[in-house]
Amino acid sequence: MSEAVKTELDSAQEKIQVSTFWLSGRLFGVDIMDVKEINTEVDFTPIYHSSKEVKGYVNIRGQIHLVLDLRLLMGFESKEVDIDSRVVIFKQSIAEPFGALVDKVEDILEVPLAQVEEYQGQDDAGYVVGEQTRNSGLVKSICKLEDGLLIILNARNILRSIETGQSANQK
Amino acid sequence: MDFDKSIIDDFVIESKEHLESVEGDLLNLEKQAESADPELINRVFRAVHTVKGTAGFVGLVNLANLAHVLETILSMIRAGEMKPESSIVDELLHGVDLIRAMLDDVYASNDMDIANIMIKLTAIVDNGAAVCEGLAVTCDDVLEDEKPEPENSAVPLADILEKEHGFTVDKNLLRSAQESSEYFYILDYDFSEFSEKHGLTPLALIKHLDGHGNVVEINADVPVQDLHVNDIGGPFPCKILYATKVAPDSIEHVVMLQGDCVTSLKNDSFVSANEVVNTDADNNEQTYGTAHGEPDMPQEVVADSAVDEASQKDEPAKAVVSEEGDNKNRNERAETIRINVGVVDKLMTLAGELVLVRNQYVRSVDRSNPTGRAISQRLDVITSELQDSIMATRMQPIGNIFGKFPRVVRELGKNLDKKIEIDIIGSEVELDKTILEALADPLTHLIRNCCDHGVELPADRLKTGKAEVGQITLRAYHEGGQINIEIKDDGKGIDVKAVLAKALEKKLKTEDELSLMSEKEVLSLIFQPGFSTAAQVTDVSGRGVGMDVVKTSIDSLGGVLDVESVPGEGTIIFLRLPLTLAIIPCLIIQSGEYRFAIPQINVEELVCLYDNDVREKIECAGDREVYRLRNRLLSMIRLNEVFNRPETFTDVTRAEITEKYRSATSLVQPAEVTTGNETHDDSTNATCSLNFAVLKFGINRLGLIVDKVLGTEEIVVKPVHPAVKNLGLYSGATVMGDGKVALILDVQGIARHTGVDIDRRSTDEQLQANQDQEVDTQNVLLFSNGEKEQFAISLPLIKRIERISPSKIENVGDSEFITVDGVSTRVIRIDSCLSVSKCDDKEEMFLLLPKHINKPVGILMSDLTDIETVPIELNVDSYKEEGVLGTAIVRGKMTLFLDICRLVEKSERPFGSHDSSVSINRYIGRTGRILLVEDTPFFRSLIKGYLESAGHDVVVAENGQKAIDIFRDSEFDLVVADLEMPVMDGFDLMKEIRTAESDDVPAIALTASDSDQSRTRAMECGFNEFEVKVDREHLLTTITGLLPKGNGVAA
Repeated sequence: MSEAVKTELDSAQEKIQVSTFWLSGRLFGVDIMDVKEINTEVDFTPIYHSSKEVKGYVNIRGQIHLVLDLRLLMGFESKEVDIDSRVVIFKQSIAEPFGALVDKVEDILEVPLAQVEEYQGQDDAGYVVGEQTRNSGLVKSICKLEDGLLIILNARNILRSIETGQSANQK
Repeated sequence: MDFDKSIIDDFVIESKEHLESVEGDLLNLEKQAESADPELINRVFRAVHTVKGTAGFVGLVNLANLAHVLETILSMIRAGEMKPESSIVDELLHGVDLIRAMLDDVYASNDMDIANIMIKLTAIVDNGAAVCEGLAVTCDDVLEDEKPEPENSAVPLADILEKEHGFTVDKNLLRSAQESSEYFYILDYDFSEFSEKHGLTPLALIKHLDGHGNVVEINADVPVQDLHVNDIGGPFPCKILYATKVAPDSIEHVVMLQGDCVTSLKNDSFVSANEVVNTDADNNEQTYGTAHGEPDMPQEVVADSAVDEASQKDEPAKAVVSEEGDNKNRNERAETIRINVGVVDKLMTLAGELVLVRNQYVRSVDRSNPTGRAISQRLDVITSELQDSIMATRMQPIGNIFGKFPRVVRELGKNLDKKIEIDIIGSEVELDKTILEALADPLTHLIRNCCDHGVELPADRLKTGKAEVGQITLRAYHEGGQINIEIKDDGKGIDVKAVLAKALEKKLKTEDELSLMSEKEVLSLIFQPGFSTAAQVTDVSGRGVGMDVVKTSIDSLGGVLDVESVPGEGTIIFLRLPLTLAIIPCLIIQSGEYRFAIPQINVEELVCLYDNDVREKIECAGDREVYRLRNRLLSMIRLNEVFNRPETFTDVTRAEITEKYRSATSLVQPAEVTTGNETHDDSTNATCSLNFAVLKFGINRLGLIVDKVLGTEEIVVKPVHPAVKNLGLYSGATVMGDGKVALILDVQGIARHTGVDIDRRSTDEQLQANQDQEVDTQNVLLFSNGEKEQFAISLPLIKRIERISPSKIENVGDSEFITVDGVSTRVIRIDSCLSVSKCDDKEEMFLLLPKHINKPVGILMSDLTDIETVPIELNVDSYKEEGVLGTAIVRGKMTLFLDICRLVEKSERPFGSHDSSVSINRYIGRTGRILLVEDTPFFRSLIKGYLESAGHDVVVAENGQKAIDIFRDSEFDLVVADLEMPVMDGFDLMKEIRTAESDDVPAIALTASDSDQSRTRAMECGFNEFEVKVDREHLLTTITGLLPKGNGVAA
């Protein structure tokens, strides 16, 4: 798939690099500039009483990261971690150290900006994401690939959706 | 920590700050030598000038001199007489370095030899003048003649100043001052008086003056040695030569002095000087204008060569100075270096990481390999040391904040017309910088409170017989890895009544609640938010304007605040703080499969219960579980439940939990306990032991039941992720030795979540404490018989006391009788039953008529003492005699507690004719295992004693429910039960027993109420016998009759 995409991209002038991953059989991505690393550490320390999207803490080289269940955030059912599960760790410029648990990581894709559409929320592209996430600003844009859609998430809003969600819970 | 030292300290700190930027500015100056930014020069000049001014002021002559020369050079640069060439800048920097070195050891600065550098710098000044002259010569010969004139013309003022006022003023400086100012004044300050009046330090004053003009010179008439002396009362005279544009009519206001202390120098000599100077300045301008207008090679060459020559000439001298300077510097620098806090923090983090790696490595190392083990041990040791050392870099003496308190106290004392002294102990105790900084405000607040509300006015103090001067003691010391700070005053203390009134008024507590609170708890009310917000605090002596703020900030540091006060004698406030916040010792516990850390500062003790205790010792009080820990009731919290229930606990939640564990533990054998869906409980019950940690938060305690206690560890605290910060349950996280993350529990947060918060808790504790009283103490009548012994009889055993006159006692054989209520009552003399001193015969004596004794007897007493509440526990070992239950110390006297039943028995036979064992032996042979159910502790222990002395095996229960629980677990030959009991009474108990399989066990009802109704009801419920408390003989006989023939089950 990526091969096809890449050859096609050669002609486009402006491209963005997206680190992609799978969630519940759908392809998602985040701007590669927001990603620090992909880590295999999936042994989380649960934080009781936190919202259910919080998987827990994980130690990555001495630094404690908060890991969120991206499946839940996107409105899918949660699933047990398995051998493919990875944690996408975001850069500290985004927020305090945190990462997102994904089902499986995929390639880094270069997509031409021309193929990327801003996500409008009411758009019928909304079918890919669960109800809750519609208004949280998580989905930044949608990219039409040859063999499907790539949903590009806004890394900056991932943690924020937890924080706002939490305050909502408390009310 | 005297006043004057603090002035010098301030001076050193501020001067260093001033000098900080000087170096960079000088270097920049050097770079832009050709077109120096005037603002830059001015900045350097001002900095040096301020240092000079203050140094002179506090009598640091050497420093002032050095700064003075530097200032001269700078002023020449400013005036354009000299260019900031590198050689000059070098010397300036050198001079600044030396000033810094002097500041580092400020008291020795006057002894420091600065001759060499002075010579060099003076040479620069002279050379500068020479260069200037040279320039002048090359440019305009006329100047040659005019040159001396300005100097001469400045002389009158300088002379006047020197001769009349003792000022030695640099001419250049005077000149520049004259240029900018119209008036000169001599200001006479007495600084010690001045600072008290206006609250300004010398530095602040000079800054103030500099804002309106120019402080040209300062003469302090106090030799610096005098500044070491603690005496602060003495005058500190000081003259300031002040140049300003402020006219004489408003000068008093500006300089904050009375007219007679200001001498105006606006006179003829001054005017002339000023005029001359002006012309001089004009000339100079002209000159330089020319010079700058036509810059050409020769000038440069002249200047350069002159300076070069100068520096060459000074080469040897320079070497010497720098060597000395370096040595000094090295010594002093070794003491302190300034490091960016960021670097230290980074080091801390790295040290923390290293600790983690160390932990991981030490754990993974193969213990059988000697080399590996040795290395791991060394790594261990070195890491610990490294960590300690890095920690030490953050440590600062608490004196840094204590130092300012003498002043605070002094000034407050003045303001409040009180005489207060502060005594500071332990300034050298070191604390983490973060804590130290956060501590400054709360401490100041507490000290202020001491002055304001604690210490009384001198007149009041004298009235109450105290010394006129109030004493505040501030003490810091290490204890158990923590810092303790005590703030003690000998003032009037906190008026508990006023606090109570205030609490009522503010509706913080109801009257009922307050009446249950101990004094200490009442005192701690002052820390409650909103306790005292208004200004009219003094009328209630209620300390605590913002005490809650103090408490909050101490809490946030992980500290504990406590207050003790004795009215009229003073108040002590205790602060307990951790040494550092970055690495803290923690108790590591496990709940479910995860570990958690509890800061050691919150952990008071660990308790482990085994087997039966697990079920029996955790009791239910209302909707919650409690544990009786040494007469204190602890609310128990199960950590697993806390984690499983995200919503704040309500009464329903608590009841649910309590019920769940109660039914689980009481119905099933512990090994089989399964708690349904709960995932975390297996380890607790499988081992049939239960661990809990007694945690303290503020003045309260709670018991936290955990699955496992893993030990203690020093952990590196990482803050809670902001996204989960508002959970409140955690105060941080840490990485454990195996790389896993563990959360640090916030005890206060857990208490809040589970509703074991302060208000509720203290009330509960009080209620419980009252129950405790009932349970563990008894009321006794104290009396005496002979002159020596003091006796006690439990009040429940006394029917009444009759006043009799001994003459009415009639003798029948050996026995004595007296008629009470028309009944002949046998009189028992204690001295005839026990080996105690003889009864004092008096005209009027007392006869104690016991309850529960069916024969008419009375015990003769000579004197009634009082009724006293005493602990039920008696010392049974030190004095043993039949008829005595035991002894205890009551009111400082050994007291014999009488066993009336035995005494009566004993009195029936001639003294000493029977061995006590005979009476007991009568019952032996028919012994068994007896379950005694009785709620009153006194009767429980009394009857238990009777039964045991008859050879029975006795198990006790406090109520019917408990009895059922015990009864299910083992077999008994007999049940003896009280009828009136809390939770489950005797009737229900019996019904319960009879409906169970073991329905054939004999049972005796034991009651104080001998009514037919209750007798019938008891029999209906299934009791075999009905006994009235407490006829020992009868009870034992009944028991023997009921017990199965032969040995009992458990015998």
